[in-house]
Amino acid sequence: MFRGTVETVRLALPSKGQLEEPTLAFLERCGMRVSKTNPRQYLARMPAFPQVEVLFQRPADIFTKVRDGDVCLGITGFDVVAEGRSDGDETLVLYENLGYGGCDLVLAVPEGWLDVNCLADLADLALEWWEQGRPLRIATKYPNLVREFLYRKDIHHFTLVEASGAIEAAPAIGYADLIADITATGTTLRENRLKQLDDGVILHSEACFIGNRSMLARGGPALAVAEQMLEFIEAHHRGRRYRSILANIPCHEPAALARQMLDRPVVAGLRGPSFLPIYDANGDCVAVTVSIVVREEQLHQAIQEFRRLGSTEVIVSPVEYIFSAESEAVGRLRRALGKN
Amino acid sequence: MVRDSEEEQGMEQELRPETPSGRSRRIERLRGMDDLLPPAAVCQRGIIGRLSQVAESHGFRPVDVPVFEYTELFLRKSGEVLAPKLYSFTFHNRSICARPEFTASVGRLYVESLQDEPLPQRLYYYGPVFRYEKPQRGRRRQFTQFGLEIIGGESPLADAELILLACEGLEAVGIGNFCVVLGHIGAMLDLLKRLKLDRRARNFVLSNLENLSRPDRGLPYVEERLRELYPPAEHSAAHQQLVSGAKREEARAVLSALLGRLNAESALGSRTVDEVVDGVLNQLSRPDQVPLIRQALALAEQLHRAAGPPREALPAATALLEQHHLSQEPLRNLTDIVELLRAAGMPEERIIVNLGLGRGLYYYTGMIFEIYPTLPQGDEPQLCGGGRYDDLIVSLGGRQRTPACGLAYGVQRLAACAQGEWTSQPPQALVCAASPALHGAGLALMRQLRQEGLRVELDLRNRSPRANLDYALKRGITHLIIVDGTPTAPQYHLAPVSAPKQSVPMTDVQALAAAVRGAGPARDAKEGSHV
Repeated sequence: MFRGTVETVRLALPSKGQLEEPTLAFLERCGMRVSKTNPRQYLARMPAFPQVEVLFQRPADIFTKVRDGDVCLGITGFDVVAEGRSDGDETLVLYENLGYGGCDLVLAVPEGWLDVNCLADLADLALEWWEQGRPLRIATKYPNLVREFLYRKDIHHFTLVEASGAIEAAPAIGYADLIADITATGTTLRENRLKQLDDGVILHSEACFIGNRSMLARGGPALAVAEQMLEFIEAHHRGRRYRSILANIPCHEPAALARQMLDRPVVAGLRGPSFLPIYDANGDCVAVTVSIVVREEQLHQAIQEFRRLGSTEVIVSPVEYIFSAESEAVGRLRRALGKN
Repeated sequence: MVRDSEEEQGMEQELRPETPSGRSRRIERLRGMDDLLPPAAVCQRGIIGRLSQVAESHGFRPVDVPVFEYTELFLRKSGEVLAPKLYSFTFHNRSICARPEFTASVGRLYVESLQDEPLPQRLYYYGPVFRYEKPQRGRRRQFTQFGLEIIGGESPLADAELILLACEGLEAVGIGNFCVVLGHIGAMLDLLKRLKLDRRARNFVLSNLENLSRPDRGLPYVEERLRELYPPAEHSAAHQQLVSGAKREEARAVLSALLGRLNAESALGSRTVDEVVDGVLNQLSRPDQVPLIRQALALAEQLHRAAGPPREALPAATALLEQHHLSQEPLRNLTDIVELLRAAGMPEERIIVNLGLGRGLYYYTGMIFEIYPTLPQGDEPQLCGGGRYDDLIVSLGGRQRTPACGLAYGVQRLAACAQGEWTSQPPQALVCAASPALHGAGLALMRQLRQEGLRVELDLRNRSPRANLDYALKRGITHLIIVDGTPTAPQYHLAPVSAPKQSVPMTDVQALAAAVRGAGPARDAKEGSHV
């Protein structure tokens, strides 16, 4: 595989499984469309960032490639990052929850274990078996997270069976007593007659944006791309929660209307309402167009308020981005790199 | 000396410098593991030397054990608290780990090789131990322990000897101010037995005694842990009635039938219907552990508060144990130990009796103690700790119950408090060959001078006399010896670093050595010349 020149910034995206499509869709929503000339190719470009070279990789490989500096930036599941990272390594999580690809790493036992429903029950079983010299075997692809979690819960006597693929079948096949695996809906667990422990969520994971610390610390195009991507991701996330409203309201005295609107917090806008006058054939202002942005959960209430103010039509559209004076995510990245 | 944690953490936050092309990137030290530079290494060696002398003067013999052991060895008895801190890994399908402490290893060594020898066995050892913890000042992931075990010595006499020895060791490394906190795990063990706590609850209490006595944690912290690990019980006393006594068999039949009807057998994995039914019955019949745990914690807290000088703390603890109808035996044992210490001349104000004292390791059965540089208030580093573990040898497969006690010092912590001067002596002379042809003569001279008992160093870099002088000054070397002449008939010029111009040519090595030592004449007796 050829390595990028100094000017190219390599971004790894998931190529297989449940993250590929949502990642491409997410980037497109954020204004960073990936242009893939051939669906079977492993390289692509991003029109918004000519210096970026996109590589499609398996989620677990994306983490190791970013950690080892083969690739500067990547989007992968947080579960993979949390499992693979160690203190002092090169991985920097730039944005933890991208808002898709959500799943939980959970402990699950065979459905028929009526006496094991929570961690405390599992702790009792682990001790009982240990006293009998019988190992409690847990099949998982996430040994580090599972071990750390169980230790934190004062469960110390267990054996981890590292396995890949079809973990859910382990108790039925017999090579493990219980499992710790990723689940989004719980369907696979149920189909394999397993039940999740009540308090057995080890980690909640979503897709996340990661980068290589040293490569970013050098600044240059890598840092510039990372910061721009963060800006857009953050602005998109913020924008997603808002709706933009345009409403026409008959009005002869804008100041009086403004006072009325300021009394109603839902339609008051961030810094007060702003109006565009609408004139009739005589040149008189007979109505105004009001433009405000409201939180999505206040949309209905806002529409009602506009109706009460006599609005004839209300136009609602999604907000693509909201950029604030400074990006929090970029600030966090700079602090992590010691650049302020 | 040792790089301390704050500095190190700061370093790790910082970014690695960009690698200039052509130069390999530096490989860093593991977090929480330290290099010892020469002064610190000298100090550590000095401390180990003094402690070894003290141990040997008490009849202890040195042993050494491997750094790696099967993980099982450490989980067998010391278990729960250490498990998360183990550097353990699977190697050729066996779980092995770097030792987190020595006692279990030395116990294993005794069972394997020393059981036939007469008791008591007094053994000492030192070396690095490894614990995966959050590194901070005074707590590193690799540190050095110096430890002692008395295998086959009964309480109270062996306990008293051990504690006295612990103090003697501290004094030997120049630590004169310290405080011995003396406790006895027997009081808590008796209570846990009486309350009939199940194993998990027992482990919870024992592993939290230490947290209970930490001012930054205390009871609120332990309560929080308790809530986290023990969610409110779903089973009531009514449930217990339902499955107790003769009704248990009935309940068993009903449950088995129900499980059969639910087609649960196919969803049991590695367990049988009977196992699960038993599990359910045990769960229903088990009394709620939380109130019992609270009772145990409450007494531990009271005992901890009653800590103080023996004169006050012993009667207070007596009253508390009486109040809870607990055996007075641990206190009698502790009183005997204190009496022996007093009789041996140990100042009483050095002792704090604390029956609430807990040390994470579960193998203790009797007296336990910790030594701090001052009165323990919070996070002072513990210099030394130990206690009695009469069950350990048997649990490691020993032939019979063998009383044992032991202690370990944290060597780096001693180094931080030790007052002594620990320096290594610089070489007395730097031998410099005037030309490469004389290197052989230089090496030969070195050997002769060392035979004369001198510490000498050779110039390996063919430096100019001026540069050699600078180097000698920096290293604290007092003399330069320049070798010239011919390889077969070398001539030596001796010059004190303080007055390099006054160099004296010599050929006799013994006279040269004498001159360096400063014992002999400054000039060569045979030549008698002066330059």
